[in-house]
Amino acid sequence: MSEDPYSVLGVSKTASQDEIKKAYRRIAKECHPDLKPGDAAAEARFKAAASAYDLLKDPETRARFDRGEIDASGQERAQQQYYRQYSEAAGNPYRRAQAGGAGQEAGFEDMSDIFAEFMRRQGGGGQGFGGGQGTQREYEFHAPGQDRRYAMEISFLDAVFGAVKPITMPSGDKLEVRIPAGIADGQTVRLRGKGDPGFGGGAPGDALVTIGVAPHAVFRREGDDIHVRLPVSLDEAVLGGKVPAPTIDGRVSVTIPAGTSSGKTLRLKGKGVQRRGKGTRGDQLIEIAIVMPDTVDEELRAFMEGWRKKNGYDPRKDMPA
Amino acid sequence: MTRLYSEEEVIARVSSLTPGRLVAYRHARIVVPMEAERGELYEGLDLARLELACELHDHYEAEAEAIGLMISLIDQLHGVRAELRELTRALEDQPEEVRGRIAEVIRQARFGE
Repeated sequence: MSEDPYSVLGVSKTASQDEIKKAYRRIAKECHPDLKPGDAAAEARFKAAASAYDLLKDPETRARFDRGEIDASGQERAQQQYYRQYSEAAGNPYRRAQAGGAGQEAGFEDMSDIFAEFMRRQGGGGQGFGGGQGTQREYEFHAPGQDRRYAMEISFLDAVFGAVKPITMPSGDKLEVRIPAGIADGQTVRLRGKGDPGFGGGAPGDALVTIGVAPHAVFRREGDDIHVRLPVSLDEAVLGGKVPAPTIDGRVSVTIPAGTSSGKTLRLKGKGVQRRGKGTRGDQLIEIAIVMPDTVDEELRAFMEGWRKKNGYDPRKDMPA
Repeated sequence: MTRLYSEEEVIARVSSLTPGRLVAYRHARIVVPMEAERGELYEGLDLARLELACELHDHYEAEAEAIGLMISLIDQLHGVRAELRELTRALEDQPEEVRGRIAEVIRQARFGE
């Protein structure tokens, strides 16, 4: 931000701290990005006002700015995480289809009624209209139970292949969590009806289990692909050949082409993670890393010196000087 | 791995959150911590939610219950917007004729022409 913070807030340079605060709050109210989704102008105004207010809210910083010791851009506010980004995501645990019928069928519970209804009618195997149950008890008091939230950590391979894991509820009861193959770090599994009991005949809430996936010593995951860094010896890199490599299914033999450089990537099709809801799998990507022998002996040194005289090359010729 | 935060960490990270406010927000179910082996934990989404709750608290001098209602409406609004965006994207891939028919149905339903 390089604009004058006073003019951003619409106050004079002699404004009191209270006037500054009021001016900021007025803009924040009008332009908050979470309350004005999709309004880019409001968002820009909000950000500018927030930066300006950060600079002027502390009388000492304000005085330093007035004396010219710091400029407006020195106070750039750390990138604020707006709630909107989370709120729009499909897995928002706080956005639950409201009471009863709509949205209760597998997979669509986080959607609005309209959208869930549409999805059900497309793919739900002739469920027809409405969930039904929601309207039967209209005149009795009933309310669904509250959802409960849990956090659980699982291993990398359990996330890849799926697993059934127990969690202990506060009541001491154990509950089995069925983790689908290919689940990603931070995703949530919903256990229907395993939350708090409902009131007056209302349905119980759900248990929402957020899954944390522990990192693996060898495998790294990007989406549905598995990445592995594979060390190869100098002679394997020069001469090529078959070398063993780990995959999530176990060891396989991969062919290293003669003259392979470090950083070259080999792709094993279909050796990655199961794609959610599809029969296909991602790939495994193997990045080659040439590793020197523990000691460079006299023989290797003598050979290299001789070789360099005749065949020296410049691997950096394409780099800027 | 997804970073999770203890109650103390949450209070330290969210600018104007105090222990008292957190109690009130939990009571109003603005946030519900996750139960885990190492106690109650919050995730990034909860932090963003608490940041917004504090802003609404400060800007409108609103009470926890009212803030809870506002955020629930925001959840619905943003969720529907995200879905609508997906729907619009799906429609853009449809043939001209299909898009035209849909536009006509919407126009009839909304404006009765």
